[in-house]
Amino acid sequence: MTETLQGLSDGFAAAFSATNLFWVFFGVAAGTIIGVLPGLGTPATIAILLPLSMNLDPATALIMMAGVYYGSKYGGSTTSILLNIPGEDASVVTALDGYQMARQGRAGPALGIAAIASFIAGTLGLIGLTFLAPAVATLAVAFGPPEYTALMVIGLGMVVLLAGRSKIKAIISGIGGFLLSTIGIDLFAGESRFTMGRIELANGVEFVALCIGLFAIGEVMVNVEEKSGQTFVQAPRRLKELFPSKQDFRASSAAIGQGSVVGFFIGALPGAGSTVASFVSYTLAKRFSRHPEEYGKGAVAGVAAPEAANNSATAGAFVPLLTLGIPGSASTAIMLGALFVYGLQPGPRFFTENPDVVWPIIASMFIGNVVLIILNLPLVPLFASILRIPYHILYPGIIVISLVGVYSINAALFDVWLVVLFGLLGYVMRKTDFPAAPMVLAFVLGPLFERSLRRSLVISQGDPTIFFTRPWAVTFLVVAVLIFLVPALLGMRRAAKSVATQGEPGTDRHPELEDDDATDSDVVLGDKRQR
Amino acid sequence: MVLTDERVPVKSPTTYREADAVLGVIVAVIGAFMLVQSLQMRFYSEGVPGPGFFPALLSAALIVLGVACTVTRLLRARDTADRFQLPSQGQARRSLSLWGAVLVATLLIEPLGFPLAMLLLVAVILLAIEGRRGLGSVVTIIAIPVLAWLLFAELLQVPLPAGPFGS
Repeated sequence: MTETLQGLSDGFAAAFSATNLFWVFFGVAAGTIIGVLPGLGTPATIAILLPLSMNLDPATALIMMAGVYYGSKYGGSTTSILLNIPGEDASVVTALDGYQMARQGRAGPALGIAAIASFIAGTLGLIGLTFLAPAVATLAVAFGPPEYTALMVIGLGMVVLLAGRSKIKAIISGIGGFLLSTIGIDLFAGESRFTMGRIELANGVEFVALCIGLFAIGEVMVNVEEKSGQTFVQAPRRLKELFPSKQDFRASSAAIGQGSVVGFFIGALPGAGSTVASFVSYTLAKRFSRHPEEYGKGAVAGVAAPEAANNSATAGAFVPLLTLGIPGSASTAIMLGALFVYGLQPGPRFFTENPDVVWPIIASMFIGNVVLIILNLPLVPLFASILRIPYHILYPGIIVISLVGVYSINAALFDVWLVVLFGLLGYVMRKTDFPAAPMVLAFVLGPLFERSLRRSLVISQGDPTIFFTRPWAVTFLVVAVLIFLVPALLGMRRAAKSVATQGEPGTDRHPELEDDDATDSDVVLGDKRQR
Repeated sequence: MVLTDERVPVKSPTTYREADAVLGVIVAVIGAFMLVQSLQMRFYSEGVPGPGFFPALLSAALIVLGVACTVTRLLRARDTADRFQLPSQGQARRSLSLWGAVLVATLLIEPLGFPLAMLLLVAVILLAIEGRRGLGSVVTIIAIPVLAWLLFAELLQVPLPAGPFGS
């Protein structure tokens, strides 16, 4: 403990040099700007800046990259909230409630709570990285394919929690996402699946193309159906409307705390990443919320939870990188490459052998987190003012940036075609009330589940009892049962009660609402539509 | 003004019951197609699921859920699910014209390059779909593709197809 504090203090002393501070600012600013653009995610941004970092000393280079990492995570949430364009993989979930808040004229509070949640969770994640890294790394290493499989059971089960009015439609959407994720060469068997002979599909469907098609293009098509001249998103007018209120903080505090913890641990698991962390945190926040019906309709906690998780996961991802030399994500893989270039080999002795590199990196991440909020909170009014642009000018811009952004990922025109295709799918799904979020969730988790299940069975030589003989795997399976079975039983009890009271005045039931989450507001909405 | 559901005009008598029944059939047909494809892959080999294992199971689940969607909806009373609105002809024309414009612009990216294809796309949107004329529209038609080009191709060095403007 004393050694850790001493190391951190030395790290701060080193990180506070003018050069390092400059590069932290540069990294956060560059990351935020590039993160705003769809397509160019964190790994691409770090890769673009890699040649530049080769002229810096190792600690400074990694400090800059860590700044980019944080900045791009926040930047991605900005376009998710304002325009329903997920600028970055991990900000897909933020769009679900963030964009709805923006539509209601609450873009400022949404951006503000995203920045604050990112700051708090990022800081908590870093505290975790500082003090728990060796313990968490040991835990992460103990996670084999059976544990991942059980963990993914929980994740995939969450598809149901993302349901709107109909659970059947949510499950269909989830299965569709899982099926889409199977397209491409099956690396396990070396066979291609559903590629229709197209070489472009060998690596599978591009995730960003799916998200931008479903969310951004689909949304624009739905909005454009209405006559022109209308504004679909209310721009905040007064300064007071630009920042989160006390009530917003109260509503988000639990989500931020939960997101910080969940994000850190999921981020520390190699391969899981911040996208998974943001989904898990969001669905947990919804499941344990007193008002789950508000999620997807502009719940401030629905922005705080994924944003907290995705930033805390960033700190978590550094645990296996620094302590084991295992990169948990594409971004940390590039950073590992950079460390190799400098002749550094992260691993169990990295902290003791290279304290002059490790501690300044961790200290500068704390600084980067502060810089992130200093840079971005004052920019909230500027970002929110984008919504003042008339929609007939804004939406052609959304489409052009989306198409160019998606092209820029792999320099592949095929990905642009995917956006066009998924745009139509997104529109049809919106019109027919099929939720898109389960599709995206299953698309992310499906391959992880499939891979770990098959690996587990290879290890056990086809014996499925492997999932019931390992403590962590059993624990996760029990948690899965508790998360899904208990609420289902409670729902049945509620339904039974309501049947008993159906005849009483004021307890009029609406049998068309097959979902437990359907609310009074849904009912009102439904009635209004009928008029 | 916020787009609220209250403003959606009631134009079509189509109900979720009818729409979902049709959608269920479509989902089941897609599931059947995928299942046929999946069964051509190895399902299980040497005690481990093969490449066709998950696709086959998922496709089968789609069929079951599609049928369930249709059957459960048809079994319900007609008047209980009257909440689905098909877009009017005019509304559908606007959204599908936009989609068509994006489709054609994507086709034109390779021969014309990104700047020109995007310029034409924005022009079609503003002039044909939105019916906007005037200097503001001209500025927008030029500004959006140029800004996108400057940002991605010049600043971030993304190799965008330049078409006739390229080297």
